[in-house]
Amino acid sequence: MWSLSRVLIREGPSDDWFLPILLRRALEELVVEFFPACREVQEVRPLPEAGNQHPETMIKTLKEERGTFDVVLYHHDGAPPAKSQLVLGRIRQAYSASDLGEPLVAVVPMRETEAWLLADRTALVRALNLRRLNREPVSGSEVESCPDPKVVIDALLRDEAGLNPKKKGALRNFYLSVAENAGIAELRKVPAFQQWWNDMIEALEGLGYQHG
Amino acid sequence: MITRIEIDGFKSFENFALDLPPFLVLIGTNASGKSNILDALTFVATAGTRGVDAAVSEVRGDARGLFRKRGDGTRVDRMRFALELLLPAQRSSPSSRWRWEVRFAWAVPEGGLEGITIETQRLVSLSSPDRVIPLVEGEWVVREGRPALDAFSGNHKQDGEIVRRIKLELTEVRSLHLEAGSLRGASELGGPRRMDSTARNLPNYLRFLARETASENRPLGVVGEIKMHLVGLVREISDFEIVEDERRRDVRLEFASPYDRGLDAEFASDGTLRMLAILAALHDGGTAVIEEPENGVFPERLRQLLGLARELVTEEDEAATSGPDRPLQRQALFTSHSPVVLDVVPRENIAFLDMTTVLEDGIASRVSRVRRLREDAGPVRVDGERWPRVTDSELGRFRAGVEEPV
Repeated sequence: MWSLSRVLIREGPSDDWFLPILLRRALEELVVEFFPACREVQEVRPLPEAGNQHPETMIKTLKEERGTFDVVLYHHDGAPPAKSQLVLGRIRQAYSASDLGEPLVAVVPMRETEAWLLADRTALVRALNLRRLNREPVSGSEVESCPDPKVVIDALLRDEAGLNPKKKGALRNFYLSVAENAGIAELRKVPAFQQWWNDMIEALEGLGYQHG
Repeated sequence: MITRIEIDGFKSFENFALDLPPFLVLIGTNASGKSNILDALTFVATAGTRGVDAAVSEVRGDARGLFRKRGDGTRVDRMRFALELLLPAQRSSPSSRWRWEVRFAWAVPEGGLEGITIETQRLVSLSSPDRVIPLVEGEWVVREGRPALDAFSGNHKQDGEIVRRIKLELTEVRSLHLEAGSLRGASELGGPRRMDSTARNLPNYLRFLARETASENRPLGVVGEIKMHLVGLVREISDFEIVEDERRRDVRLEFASPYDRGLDAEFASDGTLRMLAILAALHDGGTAVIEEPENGVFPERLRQLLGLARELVTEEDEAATSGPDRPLQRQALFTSHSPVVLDVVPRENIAFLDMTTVLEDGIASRVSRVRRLREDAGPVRVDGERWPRVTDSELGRFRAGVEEPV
């Protein structure tokens, strides 16, 4: 049986609220569509101890976990682009030089992960249990042109749902709820997400998965 | 003693298998399937010994709801179980190992109402693999109230004896989901001998254990041990009495502390009563299946309780070789959310549950998976295990109270 397992190198705890669930759900849709021989998609497991800035720490942690994953997902926010590209290049170079053979797939939203939270307005309405959004935030492919998605999320929680975005509990549960509800088709309209989707297909092809 | 369970199609299980040592703690987050394993064990053991109707009433959920739900909302129509058992040595016969396979279907039997029916079952000797006690396959062999194991034909006296002993083992599976109201209640004189899964009827159960195990020099039998352990685990208590009241026709528990005697169960702490019920179950013979012993129990006492439970169970080689005067055969399975488990229980006695996604004809369904813990510097992948072992990184998050994947 083909069973897919992944670990996630991420920036901070708030990424854990959103990315593991969203990426697992996306992978489920991806393999159903492209690789029907795959029979199982396991949880995306974050590795906080790997950090995401220092290749040595990351590779050491991954070596300790060797055997538990088929693919490494490496997340870094896309902003500012110059820094992000520099870090990503450094990580890729070090990873290639290591003896880790599993594919490394980058998960890099154009600016911040929070942009992806905004992509599906239906999921936002559902997560906040509203009838409708009085003020439409950016959505679909436009989310990547949003200069500060965190500010938009704060306003959404405060103005539409009467929640205090400074309270970590409410923010965390909002992220989780959107991760469980966001339509993957909507997210695929976002170029950076579609880029991850394409890279993931390529990685699975490299692992020997056959298109159905 | 039950040494392995396989489950497919029941609640959150798809092709699930778990080896059961004499002592095992199932850990994991909420909704990972820990309680479902206990339900599965209770369901199949009760179906074997008391029939399907009784089995449904013993577990959470209605009859159709016990069948696994797929991601698209439909339910499977079959549930398959296998139990492997070690039957201890007896005077005339050595120990033997057996495997009971049974398949249930959701069906409408001719002239009957819809419901769960047993489609097929068989018993296979694992000690001599050629020996099979089969049943006719492909027809409805057992209906409603009849115990599944009674359907095995008694053509051979030896086969009948094996079925009787397996029934006895399964009758002694006792699951505990303790409830405060039940723990405090009195028993009726002449009422049930055993407590139910909520611990209702605890006073009579203790009286029964005392009578069953008493000897000339130990008039209270194992209840003497239970008293000693309760005092050791719950320092506020120095003793308890089982009071039989002929006038009220009931049986009650009265506790004593160094400063107070005659304390009714109604005034005892939840933790004390929970500890007593768990100790009672652990001192009986058979398989005790105990949910979340940490509720209402101080962590250090949970540590001591789990340590004690390990000492009370019968090791497999002991069960296989012990002679005619063997003590009660005991097995203990716990579920827990508590990180204390990781400090006090050896890794080989822990199983970790969480969820995974299986894909069936393009439909994604969430099902339970179980993994063993990686030993120090041990391999991650082990032959015969479907998933990699749980690493220290994952355990660190469990220990810190961080749910995966958050």
